[in-house]
Amino acid sequence: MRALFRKELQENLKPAVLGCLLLTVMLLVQYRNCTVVPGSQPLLARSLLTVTSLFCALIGGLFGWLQMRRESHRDLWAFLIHRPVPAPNILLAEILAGLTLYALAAGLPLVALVVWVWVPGHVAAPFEWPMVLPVVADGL
Amino acid sequence: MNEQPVIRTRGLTRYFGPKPAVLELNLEVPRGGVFAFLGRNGSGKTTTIRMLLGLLRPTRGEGEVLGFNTLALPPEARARIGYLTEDHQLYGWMTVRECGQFQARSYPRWNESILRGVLAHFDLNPEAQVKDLSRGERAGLCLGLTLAPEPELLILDDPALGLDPVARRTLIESMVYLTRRSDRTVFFSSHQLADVERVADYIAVLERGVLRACCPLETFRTSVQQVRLRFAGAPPKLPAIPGLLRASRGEGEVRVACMHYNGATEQVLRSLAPIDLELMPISLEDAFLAYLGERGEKSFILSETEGQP
Repeated sequence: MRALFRKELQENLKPAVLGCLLLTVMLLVQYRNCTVVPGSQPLLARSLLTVTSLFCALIGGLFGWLQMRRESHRDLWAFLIHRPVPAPNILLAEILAGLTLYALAAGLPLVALVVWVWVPGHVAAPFEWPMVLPVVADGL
Repeated sequence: MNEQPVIRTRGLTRYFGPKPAVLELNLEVPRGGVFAFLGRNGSGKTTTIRMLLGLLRPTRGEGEVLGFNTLALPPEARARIGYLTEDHQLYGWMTVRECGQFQARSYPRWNESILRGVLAHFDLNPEAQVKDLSRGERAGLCLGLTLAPEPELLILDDPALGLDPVARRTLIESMVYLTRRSDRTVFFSSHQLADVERVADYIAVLERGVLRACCPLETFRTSVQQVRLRFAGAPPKLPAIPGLLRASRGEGEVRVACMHYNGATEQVLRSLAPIDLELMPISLEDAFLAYLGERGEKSFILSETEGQP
């Protein structure tokens, strides 16, 4: 199962890194727009939340599609399935790898944003942990 | 065929829409030796193989491989079955070495020296990326990956498809190498009848999803005979000849391919008053073509158990 997990990660690492960079840039732009108004909390800004919700849905769908497309050739599918590994383990490896890639592409920039906002001195607005919930909801 | 067969199917059937791809297939593959699975394009060979490996559900009927139901092949059974697909598909982004490592991690028994031997035989660079390999090189890599777990049963789906003669020969040699132990079985589908003739012990012939023959190669070869009749003038019109598969006319001669040529057949042929009647050697390819010709496919079923019709 570990071999399959590693294979999936290696196979889709590039799109995950690209997704991570893309979301980082998008968050930076939204963050700058939000912090122009003194006292506004970027984590609650509608524009930022719209961007994250759209991006998370798209990147999640993209990884699902990529993982399926790469194995969709009949013979490659047989190569994946015909091995002494129980089918549920193969599925689990695929799911875990997909979640890991998603966490890299979407989770990492969002966590970085939360940490940045949480550290005192960065944003001139009060911070409460419940403010993170909308971003977490987008990510999930 | 006293031992339990490594492959057994009972009424195995698969429809794609209204069209039957495989129909009521009853097949037994004995342990040991090389079993060739023959048929034209679209005759249902790949569909059968995919059903045997549990990659495709049969519409009805059932199959067993190494004593396990094909619909529930456990991992320990899959470890004992090597499968080589016809397109030799692998992950293009991997290197040859990575492919080996990826497969080795999944198999409890992995003989790295076999993989290295096959790679050396095909002159493959371990650092080469799969996407840069030629078709023959990819076939070699796939073969190495299939042989390294030392499978008890090797299922090859038209392994020589698209290979040059050298790669084909190498592949055949590897198959022979694998079956040097009597408990190993190779089950392969092929269009290359010359290869089949060289290595197969048994053959099965599938035509439009229906099994037309299943017997030792030698039985098949001796069951289909070719006779040349020479005449002083123009050859007469042929009467009903028992077991006739194919007849072709030449100048002053007629060649007929017959199934189960015997005294009755000869008597009918002699009644045409030829100046000469000669039994001629027939290649497996000609026998196969005659057998699956318009007459043959509708008239005869050859199986080891049925014997003479």
